[in-house]
Amino acid sequence: MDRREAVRLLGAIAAVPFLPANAEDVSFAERVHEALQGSARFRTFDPAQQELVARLVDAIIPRTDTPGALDVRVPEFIDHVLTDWASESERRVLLAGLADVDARARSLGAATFVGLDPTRQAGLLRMLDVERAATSGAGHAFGQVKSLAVYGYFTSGAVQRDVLRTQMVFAAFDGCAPA
Amino acid sequence: MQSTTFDAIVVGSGITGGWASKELSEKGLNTLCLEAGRPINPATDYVEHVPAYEMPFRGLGDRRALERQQPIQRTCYACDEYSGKFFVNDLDNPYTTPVDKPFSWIRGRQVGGRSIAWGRQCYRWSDLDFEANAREDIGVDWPIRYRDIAPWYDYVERFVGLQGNAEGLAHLPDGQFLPPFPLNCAEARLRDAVRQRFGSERVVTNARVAILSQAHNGRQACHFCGPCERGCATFSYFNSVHVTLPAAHATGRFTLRPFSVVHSVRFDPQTRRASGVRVIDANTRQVIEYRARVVFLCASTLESARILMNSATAEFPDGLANSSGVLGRYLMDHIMGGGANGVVPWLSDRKSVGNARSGFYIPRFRNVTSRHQDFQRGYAFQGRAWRAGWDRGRSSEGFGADFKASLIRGLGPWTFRVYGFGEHLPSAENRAYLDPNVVDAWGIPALRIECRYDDNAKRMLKDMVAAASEMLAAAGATEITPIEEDNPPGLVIHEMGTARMGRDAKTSVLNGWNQAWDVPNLFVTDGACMTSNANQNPSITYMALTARAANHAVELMKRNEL
Repeated sequence: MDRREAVRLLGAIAAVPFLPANAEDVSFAERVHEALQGSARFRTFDPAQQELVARLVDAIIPRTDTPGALDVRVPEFIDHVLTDWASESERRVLLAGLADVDARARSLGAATFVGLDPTRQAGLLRMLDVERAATSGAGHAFGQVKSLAVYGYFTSGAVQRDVLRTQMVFAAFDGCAPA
Repeated sequence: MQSTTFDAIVVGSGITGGWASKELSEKGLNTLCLEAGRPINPATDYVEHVPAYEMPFRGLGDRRALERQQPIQRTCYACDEYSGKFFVNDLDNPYTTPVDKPFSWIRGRQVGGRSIAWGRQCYRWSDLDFEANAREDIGVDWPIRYRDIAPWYDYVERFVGLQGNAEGLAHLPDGQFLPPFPLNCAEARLRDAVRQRFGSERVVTNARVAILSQAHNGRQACHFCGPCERGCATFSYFNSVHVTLPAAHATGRFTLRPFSVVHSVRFDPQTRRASGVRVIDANTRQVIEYRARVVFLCASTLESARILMNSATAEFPDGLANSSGVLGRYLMDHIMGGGANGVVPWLSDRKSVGNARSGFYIPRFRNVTSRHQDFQRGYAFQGRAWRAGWDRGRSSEGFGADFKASLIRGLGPWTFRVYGFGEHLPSAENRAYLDPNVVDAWGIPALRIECRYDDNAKRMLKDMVAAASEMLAAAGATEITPIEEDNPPGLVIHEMGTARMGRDAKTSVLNGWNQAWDVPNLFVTDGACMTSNANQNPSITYMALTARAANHAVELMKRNEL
């Protein structure tokens, strides 16, 4: 992805309604650009798929008062899983499902999902979330990306240390602590 | 040059090999322990505190490597990205089965064997178990009763550090317990609800686990990090590496030789005794013979049987110590995987803090005081209740800022899992023998295993589903979903039999002291010795039998009777 494409992508992303009100466009732009600039790090996703996945994971786990999925390089994690962990058929079905996401966007009048206006993006994501347990197609792709986004986000070092503050060792066990 | 002559040889360094090494060396014998796998250094090999983000696959496992090198081992829950190194390479360690009789042979070849990643649950047997074969005329009678093993349970439990709650049940005897970790409040409520609904018939008690609830014998109490199967920096759960083998070392009479694949036991037809063992060095392939006055096979159920089969002589063409012809037969494994999950709406203002790997246990309640019409013997449940954290978001509904916030701050409802382990009746048809066409990476003939669950076990599995569901219902659970798995035998990793104990040399391999009828200075004290398999997790019984057999062997040696 070149700089021009990245800026176009940022334009699409920056307008979505569930961005935090205090998000600064410039830093957000830099963040996405940084997240996506090293295309060499992606070994399965092509640039268009990178854009789409970045858009999806940012919708699933946006930056709020805590880092978002893009901040902890979730797209790269998903690419790593697809490249080095998933089976050939799992990878093929997921990539086909991503193409179906764009096909669904076309039926709504845009060239790609990324090109949809924010309201329609959100509406389509809600539909895909209902279909997330499907074994193929756009709903399947969304379900898989969501599962990996949650896993990749919450197992990242930054989130484990600074957001969850995961405690490894306990002086005692309390089986009935206040929640 | 290292000596090749010892008083005693112990084959294997797992749960039973560790105990045999400790007992024999403490009783004055110059003891050699032979371990097929590599050494283990707790400082570098234990990985229970390594966070997921330091792992190449964040804990998902190197799936392709696992599929390529550990296609069988990876089916065990504990063989993951962290602990996979404590399980064998399946390519180096082949075995075969008929297509219609799959068997999952889960193995650990390193110092400590499977004791590093074992389940740590310990339950005594009772005479309900030791008398069952005789009472029902199945298999052969156990040559021992509870009174024979009870003092040895006491002995090993005191050293192991076993936690539990004394319940006074005749069929699940209490032990030498450290205080148990408390049940969490959801589990405690299940306990109370089951008591109210089923009276004394069904008991929900604290799991009896070999995890220290307080400092014990120089080892520290548990620090509740969670993944015991990856090792333990504070030595708080029991295994051979950091408990029994160091005790053996402390005697100054103990030699541990890793990378020592035991090919066979050597038999001297003149003395009619085992003279030692033949070893293949795993690295150099050099063949070495070690000699000793007594040999303890503690290589694990099927490995010990395999060694005996590979030790065939002219006199014992079907395997050493096999004049009975039952070596390799009467293989059993518990049947697991019947039960239920359920969600409860209450206690949403409570959570657990700390990862206690204990949970609850529901001792056998079928065929204890009354006869069940569908099956013989019985089963027990292990289970726990927990509240899911962020991981529930992998499959739950939602996305966006609120979804994220709920995963960071919220918890799922209390969820129960009640999971059964049942008895598998001994049958001559369930057996292992040498496959004439397959050898392992060291050229040693491999096993062919034929084992399947019987209809009795399958009927038991159905009852597990019904019984678990009705207990969860009694506790007010909703969304009760049955667990009815179709697991292959072996996967429970409670495989037993193949060199059973008995009262008659014509129908058993070992006598009541785990001593081979045919070769008096040869003892087999791992799971191979088991005459039936009850439903309890077996390791504590193996430990007690091993300590008892070691004591007996030394007594015989003192009297020059070995």
